[in-house]
Amino acid sequence: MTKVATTSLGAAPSFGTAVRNAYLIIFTDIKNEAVIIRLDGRMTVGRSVPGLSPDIAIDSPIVSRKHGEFTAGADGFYYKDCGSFNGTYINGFLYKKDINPDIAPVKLNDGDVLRIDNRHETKSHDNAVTIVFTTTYDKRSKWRREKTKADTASIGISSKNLVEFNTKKMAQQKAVAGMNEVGCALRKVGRTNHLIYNNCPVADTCFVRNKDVFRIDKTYFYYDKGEFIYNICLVTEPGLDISLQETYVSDKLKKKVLLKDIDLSVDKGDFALIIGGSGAGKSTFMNSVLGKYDINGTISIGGKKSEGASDLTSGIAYVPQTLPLRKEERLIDVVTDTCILRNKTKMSKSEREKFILDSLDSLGLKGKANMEIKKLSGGEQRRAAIANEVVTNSEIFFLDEPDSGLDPKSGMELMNNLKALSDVGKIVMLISHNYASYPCPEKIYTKIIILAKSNKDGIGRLAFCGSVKEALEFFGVDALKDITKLINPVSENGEGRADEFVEKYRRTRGHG
Amino acid sequence: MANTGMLQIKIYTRKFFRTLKKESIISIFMGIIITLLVMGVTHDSMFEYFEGTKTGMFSLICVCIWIGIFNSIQLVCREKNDIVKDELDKSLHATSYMAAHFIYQFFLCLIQSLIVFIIFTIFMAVGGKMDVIGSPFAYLVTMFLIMYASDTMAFVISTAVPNPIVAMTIMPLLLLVQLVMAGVLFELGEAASFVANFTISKWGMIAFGVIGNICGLPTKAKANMMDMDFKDNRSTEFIDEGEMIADSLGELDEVDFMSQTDLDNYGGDIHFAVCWLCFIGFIVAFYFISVLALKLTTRKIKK
Repeated sequence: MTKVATTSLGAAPSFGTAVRNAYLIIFTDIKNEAVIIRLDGRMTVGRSVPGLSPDIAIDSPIVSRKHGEFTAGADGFYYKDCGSFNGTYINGFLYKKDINPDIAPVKLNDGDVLRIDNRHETKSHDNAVTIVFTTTYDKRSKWRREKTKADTASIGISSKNLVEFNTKKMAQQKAVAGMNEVGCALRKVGRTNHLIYNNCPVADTCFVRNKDVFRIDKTYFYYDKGEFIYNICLVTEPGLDISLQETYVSDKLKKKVLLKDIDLSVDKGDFALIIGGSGAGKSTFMNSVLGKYDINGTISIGGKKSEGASDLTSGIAYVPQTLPLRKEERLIDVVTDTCILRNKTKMSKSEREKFILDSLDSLGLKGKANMEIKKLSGGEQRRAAIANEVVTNSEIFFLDEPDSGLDPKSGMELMNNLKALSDVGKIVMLISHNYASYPCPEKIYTKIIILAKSNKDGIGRLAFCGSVKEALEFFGVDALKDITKLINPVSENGEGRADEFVEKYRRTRGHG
Repeated sequence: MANTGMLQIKIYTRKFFRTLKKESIISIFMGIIITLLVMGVTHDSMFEYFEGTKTGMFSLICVCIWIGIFNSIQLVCREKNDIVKDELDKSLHATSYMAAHFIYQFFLCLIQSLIVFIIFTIFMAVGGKMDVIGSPFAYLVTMFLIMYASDTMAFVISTAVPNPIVAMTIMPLLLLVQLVMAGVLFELGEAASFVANFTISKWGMIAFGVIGNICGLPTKAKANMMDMDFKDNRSTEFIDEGEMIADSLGELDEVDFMSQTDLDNYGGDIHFAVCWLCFIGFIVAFYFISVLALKLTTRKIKK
């Protein structure tokens, strides 16, 4: 049986940014589900043997110990063969270093199919591995398996992205498959270019070998000996991409730059913590994305691009540091008004009431619905402010120090509430100074964004963006709280190494 | 856009009816106390002589202006930085927010002006002056418009200033301008008279003066003189007493006891409806100015 495992990044990891959300979907065996790996800079792929641990370890005899390598370039991800024995088929073409030693790394495009195979005539090897490179992956995707007993199968995909096999009243038939022991022949049904094989639209028919992949619309199908593994809702809209060259304030006479060179992305379902020393520009960063500052740069939400404030950024739910609630109002009245005004989903009155109560319940406030805001405790008031944003049904939540003034227990409760939000696919980004008081930050936050104020010009810059584990590795510390000490200026009891880490991070991203 | 705006007005008006209830009740009670105090002092001299009536009416205008300003001077500025700015950033229109405030204040001023009117009417009725005060309905409308215009004027301050402390510092100044520009306390110069055209108190005095026909009332000086003439003439035992009084009055009529400004203001051809239109004009202007002020003061983060 072929297995896939990943190890931690090496001592000097690099972080890709041009294509920010790149994933590998690795299929090894029909008995196993697809393995999803997020590409993060340079990652090696190979067979794991004692003393050699590639970043992506595939336990297959036809995979070389050091088979290939994914690298992040300025314009995207590249794959190169590392002198493997069997080479790699990229979209059906064999790519092998010993055939052409001078061949350049291949730039990968969304949907490219990489296969490690040792074909005997037309038959795939039993341990062949198929890898799909994708830049649009939804972590909430569910994988299904379908085994067809007949020699033919009719495949359809409904408007709700549900896959149907051999259904009599198939509303949207997409393809017909004829199977034999080597693979299956696919015939496209309909006029659109929905059937994709080796990242190319199929005009009429194609032949898919065992252990190979084809795609219909947004759904990938891995086929092996009459069985299909396929995903539901694999490809959805991307999350939040922020590219700020500059954030500034200006009057008639001069322009003052507050933030510079902040280039990062946050995926759906991410719970991102923004940290940094005082004056590093954490709140400014949030406000820049929200369109409250003038910026040079772009913000993309769900693939839609915006330059500064727009309807796009106004859809972001934002909980400021000070409570934006009228304290004389009852909680239920506050959230109902907000839901009516800002939730764009069409709901009947009873549906709305249920949605509101569910939202309050998710934050532990259902029993407090009829209380006036001023009668709630500090922690409850914070959660009320969050509930007031949850009822808008926004996809992105920005919170500026939601745990300030709370004791560690209430703060942790709040973090769990926010984590639950991100678990249902929302993007949650928060600024916090109390993060050190919560245990296991790597289990809470999926991403850490670190801003640092330059000692040279006083402008805030991005010093790091990645997972907690990567952050600790990058800064060479044991705990997150030590990072701020490293980057804070000497005058604030720090080590004043902000510029060093900003430069290091810039270099590792491939910018100079 | 229009639908969203209307929905926002509806929701925020409802919100203000919920949240401002308690302080509105306090405001109403304070209005009652002030009106009772002022009417208690001035009702005797009202509609007897010109001066007493003018002072009484001026006091009544001060009450209405004070109540109006007090209603709204802090309403926006106290929640502007934390709440309104956040809501404006999240799709609330400044026009809707201010419109909701104006609607709520309309009803509050209506109640308050009704109370002031009732107290005023009671005092007049007790003094047996109902026959001479003029149209009660015109008084009610004028009181309401003065109060509402003052209320909306205070919104301009409330939207423009950063916090309630500044607003409360400006409030006495605002009142002072209104008092001075009414032209009751001081004779106004040419420039001041022009500026006075933009004050609520001036148009309030004109409206009250016209409704109460205060130019038809004798001045105290004139009445005193009449009294003196009558006594002097009686001592000389003139034969025809009735003829003497008639002569005296004829002579007195030729003497101008009122200032030209008073005569121009309250004795001219101006109809009180013109004053009402001025008040409506003020209210509309104050709405747009306060919307603009709110937008300007909450537009961008300043460093």
